[in-house]
Amino acid sequence: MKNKDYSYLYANWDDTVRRRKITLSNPVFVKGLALAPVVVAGTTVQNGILLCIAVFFLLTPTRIITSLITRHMSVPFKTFFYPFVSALVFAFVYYYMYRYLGTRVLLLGVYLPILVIDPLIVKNFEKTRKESVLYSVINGLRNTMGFVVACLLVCAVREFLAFGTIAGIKVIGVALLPMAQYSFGGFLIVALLSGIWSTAIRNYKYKVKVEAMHSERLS
Amino acid sequence: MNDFLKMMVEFFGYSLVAIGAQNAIFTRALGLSSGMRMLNDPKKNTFYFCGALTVFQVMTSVIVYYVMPLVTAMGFGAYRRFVLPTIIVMACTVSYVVVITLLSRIVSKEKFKDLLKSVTSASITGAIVGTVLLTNYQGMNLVQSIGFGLGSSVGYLFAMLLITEGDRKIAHDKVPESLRGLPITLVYISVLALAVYGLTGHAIAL
Repeated sequence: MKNKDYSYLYANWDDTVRRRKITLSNPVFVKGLALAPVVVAGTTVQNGILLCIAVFFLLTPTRIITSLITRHMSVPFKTFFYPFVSALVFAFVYYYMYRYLGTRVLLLGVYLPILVIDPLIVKNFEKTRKESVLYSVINGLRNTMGFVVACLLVCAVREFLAFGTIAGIKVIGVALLPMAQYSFGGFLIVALLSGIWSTAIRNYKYKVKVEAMHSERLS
Repeated sequence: MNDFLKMMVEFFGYSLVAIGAQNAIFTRALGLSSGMRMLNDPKKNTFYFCGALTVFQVMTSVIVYYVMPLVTAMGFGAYRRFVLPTIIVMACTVSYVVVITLLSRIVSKEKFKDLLKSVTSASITGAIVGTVLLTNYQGMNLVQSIGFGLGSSVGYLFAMLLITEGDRKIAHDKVPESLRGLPITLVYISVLALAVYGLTGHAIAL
C-alpha cells in the first residue's frame, strides 16, 4: 500500500472502520452481535456452516425488504416490522434448508430460529438514518461475510479443542480442552479470539498512523 | 387439592430450572447481545428492561400457547416449526401494544417517556423468543410454559445484575489492553457460567 493511501485511511478512520465489516468492525468479535448461536451452537464446523447458510439467506434479503418499506415508519413500528419481515423470510429459508439439508438443521434447536430477532439481522431499527437499497445490499453482504469469518473461525477452534477434529477430519487423537463444547467454553474462546482480533486492529491502526505521519513528513 | 399442589410444584419446579440449570444467559446465552447493548446504553435501565421483559415473556408464552393449536387446526400442522418464529413475533407485538396502552394510562407523561425506551427494547429479545421456542419444542403445558417463562426472566434479571455489577467493578485500567471491553466481559460471563455448571452439573441439549 502506498503512503498516500495510509494518509487517506488515517484521515477517514471512522469511515474505514464502518466499511470494513469483516475485519475492523466484525459483527461478532468487535460488536458482540449474534453471540447466542456462536457461543452455544457453534461447536463444530458443520454447525457453523449451517448457521452461515441461514445468515446468508436471511440478513441481506431482510435488509433490502425493510429498506424499501420502512422509510417513513417511526421507531416503535420498525421495532416489530423488522423482526416480522425477518421471521417471514426465515420461514422460507428454514423450510428449504430442512428440505435440502435434512434433519441436521433441526440439531441446532432454537439457535437457528433465534436469528430472526438477533441484533445482527434487525440491529438498525433504532437508527433514524434511511438506507438505500444498494447500501442495504452492500452493507448486508459485508455483515454476512464478517459473521461467516468469525463463526467458522470460532467453530473450527472449538471443534479442534473439544474433539481433536476440524470439519470431522481427525487432526489429533486427544481432546485438548473438552470444555470448549459447552457454553462456558464458548464464552471463553469467543473472548480470547475477540481479544486477539482487537489487538490486531490496534496494531493495524498504529501502523496506519505511523505511515500517514511518515508520508506527511515526506510531502 | 392434590391437582392444585401438583400444579404449584410443576410451576415452581420449572421456574427454578429456568433460573438455575437452564439460565437464559449463563447456560443458553439467550438475549446476550441485547443485554450487552443495554449495558453500553446509559439511557436504558436494567430494572425497567428486565421488569418489562418478564411481563412480555409471560404474555407471549400464553398467547403462543393458545395460538399454536389454531395453526394446526387450520391445516398448517406440518409447517408448525417453520411458522413458529412469525407467530412469536406477532405475539410480542400484541403484548407490546397492550402494555404500552396500559402504561400510557397509568403513569405520568414524564415517567412514560422515561420507560418507553427500555420497554421497547425489552419487548422483543432473544430471551423471550428463545424461551417460547424452547417451551414449544419441549411440548410444555400452560402451567409449565408460564413457570419456565417467569423463571427464565428472573434468571435473566439475576444474570444481568451480576454482569452489570461485575462490569462496573472490573478495574479496566489493570486489564490488559487487548482484553478491555467485550473480551473481558465475556471472560467474566464464562467464569460465572462455569460456576452455574459446577453448581447444577447440567449440560443443555440444544
